[in-house]
Formats: sequence, C-alpha cells, structure tokens
Amino acid sequence: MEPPPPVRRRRGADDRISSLPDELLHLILLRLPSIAEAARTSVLSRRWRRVWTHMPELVLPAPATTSPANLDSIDAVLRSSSAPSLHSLKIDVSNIGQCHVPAHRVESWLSFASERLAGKLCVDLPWPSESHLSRLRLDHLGRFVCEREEELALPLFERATEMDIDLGTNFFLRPPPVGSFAALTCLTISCAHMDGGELGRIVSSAQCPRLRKLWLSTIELVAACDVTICSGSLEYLYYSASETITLEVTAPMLLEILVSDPKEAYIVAPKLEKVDWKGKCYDPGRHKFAVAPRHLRSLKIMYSTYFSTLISSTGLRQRFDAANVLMVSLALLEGIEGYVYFLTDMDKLPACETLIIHLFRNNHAFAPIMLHLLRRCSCIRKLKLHSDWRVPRQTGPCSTSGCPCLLPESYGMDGCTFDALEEIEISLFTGSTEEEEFVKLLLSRCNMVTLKTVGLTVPFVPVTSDIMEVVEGIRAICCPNTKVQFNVRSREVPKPSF
Amino acid sequence: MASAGSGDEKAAAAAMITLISSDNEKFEVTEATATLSQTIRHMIEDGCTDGGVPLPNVTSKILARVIEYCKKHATAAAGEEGSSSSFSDAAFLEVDRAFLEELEEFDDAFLEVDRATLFDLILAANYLDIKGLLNLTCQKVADSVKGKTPEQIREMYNIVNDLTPEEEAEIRRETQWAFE
Repeated sequence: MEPPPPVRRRRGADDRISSLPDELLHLILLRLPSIAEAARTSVLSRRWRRVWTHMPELVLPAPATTSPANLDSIDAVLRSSSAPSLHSLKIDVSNIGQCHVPAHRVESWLSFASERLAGKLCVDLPWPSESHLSRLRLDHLGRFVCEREEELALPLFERATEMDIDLGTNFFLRPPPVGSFAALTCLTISCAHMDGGELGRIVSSAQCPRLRKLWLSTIELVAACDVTICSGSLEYLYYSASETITLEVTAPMLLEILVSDPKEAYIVAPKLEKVDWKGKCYDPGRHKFAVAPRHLRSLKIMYSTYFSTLISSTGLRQRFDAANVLMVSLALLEGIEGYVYFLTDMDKLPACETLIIHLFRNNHAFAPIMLHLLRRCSCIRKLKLHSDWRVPRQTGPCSTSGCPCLLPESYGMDGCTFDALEEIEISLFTGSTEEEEFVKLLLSRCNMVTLKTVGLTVPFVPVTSDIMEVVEGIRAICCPNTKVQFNVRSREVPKPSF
Repeated sequence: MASAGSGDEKAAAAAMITLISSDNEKFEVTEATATLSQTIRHMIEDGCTDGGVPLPNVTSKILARVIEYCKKHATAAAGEEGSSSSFSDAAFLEVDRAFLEELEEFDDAFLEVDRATLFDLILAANYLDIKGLLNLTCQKVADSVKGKTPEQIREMYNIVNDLTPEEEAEIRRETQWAFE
C-alpha cells in the first residue's frame, strides 16, 4: 500500500486577507508608508510572493528618504516590477542631498517607464551636490549655471498621458528626434538645459499631437536661439526659458498663456482668454499678439521696482482693451522715481468687471495707491484686494519726504463713484488707521443699494477687540442698507520670515 | 418660480431607492445616499432601479453598515456644497471645522469592527464602487500591517507560511534591499 500523501499545510481557514483579489491587495500595499514595506510582504506566503511586483502604481523611493543608498532600491524595484502596464510612476529623489545622480541611471529609469507606463510619470531629481558646484558659475542674473551639462536622452513615451520631469538643473535634456508622444496631454519640464530647436519640435503637434497643457519652467537654452511652438491642441502654455530670442507660438486652441523672458514674441492665438506676462517688461513693439481677441476673460499686469529694477507689463493694455477679470500685481519700494513712474504707467487701465489688486510689497502710503487704480476702474462690480503676509507691512505713511504719495490730493476721489460695485473683499485687513480710512472712503462712494457684500479677512486668531471696534465703525457706514452682508473672517497667518 | 423650484427639490430629496441584500432584506435609502456608490449611480442613470436594486454580493449585516457610512457622508457632501456659498463669517467656519471633526470621529468609530467585517466592507465597497469607503477600509488594513515583521503579519491575519525555508531565503535574497 502506498503511504498516505503528506499532510500539506492548507491556507488558514479564516485567512481573509490572502483571499482578497490582487487589485484590492494592491490598494492596501499602496497605502503602506514605503515600497520596501510592500516588498517585504513577499515572504508572507506563496500567495504573496509576487503580489507587490504587480502593483500598478509605484512611488519611489519612500517619501522623505534622504539616503543615496536608496538609488539602488529604485533600480531593484524596477527590476522586480512585472506589471505589464503601470498607470503611475513617481521617482522623487529631490531630497537626496550630496549625491549626483548620473545620466545613465536616470536613463535606465526613463527607459523602464517608456516601456511600461500608460499613465502618469513624475521624475524629480536633486539639485547639484557640492562636489558638482565647482562646475557651476553665476550668470548675469545671479543664477547658478553649469559649465558643461551631462546629456540625458529622453526616450519616446507612446502611452504616457502626463509627464512631469524636474531635472534639478543637472542635465542637457535631449528629446527623441522622431516618434510621437501619442497619448500625452500634460507635459511639465523644469530646471533643464535644452536646445531651442529641439524644445520647439518636441512640444509641437508633430511629436505631441494631443498636448493640452505645457509647463516649461526654469528652462535654460544651451545657446541663445528662437523657439517655435506650433500646436493644434495646446490650451495652456507656461513658458519660461532663458536665452530665448524670439518665441513664436501658433496655437489655434490656446486659452491661457503665461510667458516670461523672451526678448521678442509673436503669438497667434485667436481663442486666447487669459494672459499673464511675467518676468521682464512687456514691450508692445517686440512682443506681438498677432492674432488674439482684444477682450479677454482674464488679464494680469504687473508693476515692480523690486531689486531697483523696473518691471512693468502695463503695455499689455495697448493690446487688450478689456478683461472680465483684471489682476494688478504691485511691488512698490521706497523712492520717489519708482512711485512717480507708477502713476504715469498706470494712468490708464483696461476696462474690467472684477479688479484684483495684489500688493506684494509697498513702502508708500496705502490709500493713494489704491485710489489711483480705483479712479481708473469706476465701473467695476467686484473688488478684491490681497496683500502678501510674507513681507513686513508698511504701517505708517511713506518715509521718503517729498514723495507724492504724501500729498493731500493723492487721497482725492475726483468725484468718482462706484455705482456698480457689488462685492468688496479685502484679505489681510489689519485694522490700521490707513486701511480703515481707505475702506470708509471707498464705502462712502459706493451705492448702498447695489452693494451686496463686504468681506474682511483679519490675520489674527482670535480677532482682537481693537480690530472688531474698527470693523464695527466700518459696518456702521453700510447701515443705510441693512441688506449689505458684512463678513469678517479670521485666518492665522505665519509671522513674516524676515 | 421660486416655489416651483423648491417643490422640485423636495421631490428630488424624497426620491427613494430600494436596495435588496443577498439575504433578501430590503433597505430604503435616499438617492443622495445611494449615489455615493458609483455602481448604483450608473444603474439610476440607466433607469434600472424600479423594483429595487438586488445586491447579491452583500449581506444585510454589511449593507446596513455601508448605508450607515453613505448616509453620514452624503450629508457631508451636501455640507461642502453649502460652504462654498458667499456666507463666510467666523461662526460659520467654526461650524464647518466642528463638522469635519465629527466626520473624522464617525469614520474612526465606524472602523471599530472585527477583521471579518472589515474585509466584508472592503469587498462591498469595491463591488459598489464607493471610493471613500474603499480608501478608508484599505487604509485601516495598511495601518495594521505598517511596521510589522512578516511573522507578526502572518499571526495577525492567520496567514499560513507555505514557503519552504529555502524559498523564503531565496525571496529575502531577491528583495534584500527591502529588508535592510
């Protein structure tokens, strides 16, 4: 007689977790703090041996990891991964300090991703380590520039839908010469050196036929050159690439554009709705919106005398007559000249329904600046006023004697009234006498029947009784119309960092 | 017009769906509660909910718990919509925060169940496609496993190790980086 078969240890009868389908086990493994913990489940039992290797989403290495040894674990995970199709791969080694990640290593990650990824890719590399800083020099704008960057070949991603690549200024990124990123809809490239011709080619329709969002941030062209972007699908464009001579954009579907730095620009975008000109001055002579509507949904203009450099994009008003939302960003430092030029530069503003004023820095009297802008926008329906909490605020009046902001006539309203104004929102209302008087003056010019809401955000929690007293004083002005909704919100704001 | 509008809203609020568990128990729930389940939302959109929705994979015990979760979170979703209105004074924000805290407490208490129920809830959340509940329950399992040795995990979940010592040693070699 044959001996009885050996008693095999069966799976525990109440082992519920092992009987879950793989896709649910993946959901659990994804919620572990690191891929290493997920990988350790491979020794639980035969059932678990390969479960982690089929995870469709990988986040490498563990978040907040800082040791260079983790680079090896990335290679190991990618070698083990046998999911035929990943819907997300994130490799973030930006926190690994003092470690240069060589190009061939990044290329092996990218090559894995180009084969397996059918979804979202995110690669974030560290900034140069100290040993590599010797290869850096400061350029004329005070930024670090690498003398000779290592080349990094970008493979073709035929199934990736989103790509976000931050190269930490280490590499000269070389896109593939041919082939199509057929599924790609969003592309972000940051902190990379690129060739202008290759840059224009890779983001244009021939290689990215479905691209809708393009974000090019802190790109440095390896040589000054023109960049031409021709896209039938592009809807959002952020462009910041230094050394660009002429940026030429032809994008019939383009809705939003944020541009920084080109010496010249020629933009054909008949559907454009939103324009934000960052960086240096906008010059209508050199920066041309050849085909674009004159009325936008949103327009942002800025005026800054920061670092003693004048930056102004107010010239955009010559090209655009009106915007539903007009955003004005201001940084006005001490000095009469910069202030006087602000007055002339902002003498005329495009017509708008909503006026948003961002006051990033101000060393002048508060009310005259606001009144200067408001007198030019008397037809607005909404007014939003934001100040930056990160910088110390000018509490008293301007300290430069003889500054025009101190003249009594700067506080005049020129008989201006705001009959259409429905909504006023002021963030960071500190209750200073200046702010109080400005708000009272503004309210005295509003139509109390039209006005619906006044919102003040106070940067202190809890709101002090002193501020509440000021607020009550302001509220009293609205009294003739009890329907005006008066909201006071408080928000804890971090202390200024300097 | 205004009164007609609010009438419609009342009608929508009153729209009830009958869910039928595997052991044939019937549960009446509002549409807002039921549609936290994408599976049921699609059935409602396709107009296949007349006469009740049979859920052959979910027992009455588990379905009752799932409905309890959906009811609470449906109210929360309605609350979030409300908070986007222009009304925004400090008192309102206080209420908002209190409500979110209450929701968190509810979730914590909701997860105080035995292991078998937890796995039944995972399967039900997956079948009914209720993202929030699936997240919550999977996170609970992940948290229980977090930082544990393989031996501890096996014991906790009654996993029988059917690997030979040689196989286990081989796997540890293959994934050495994960054990360092």
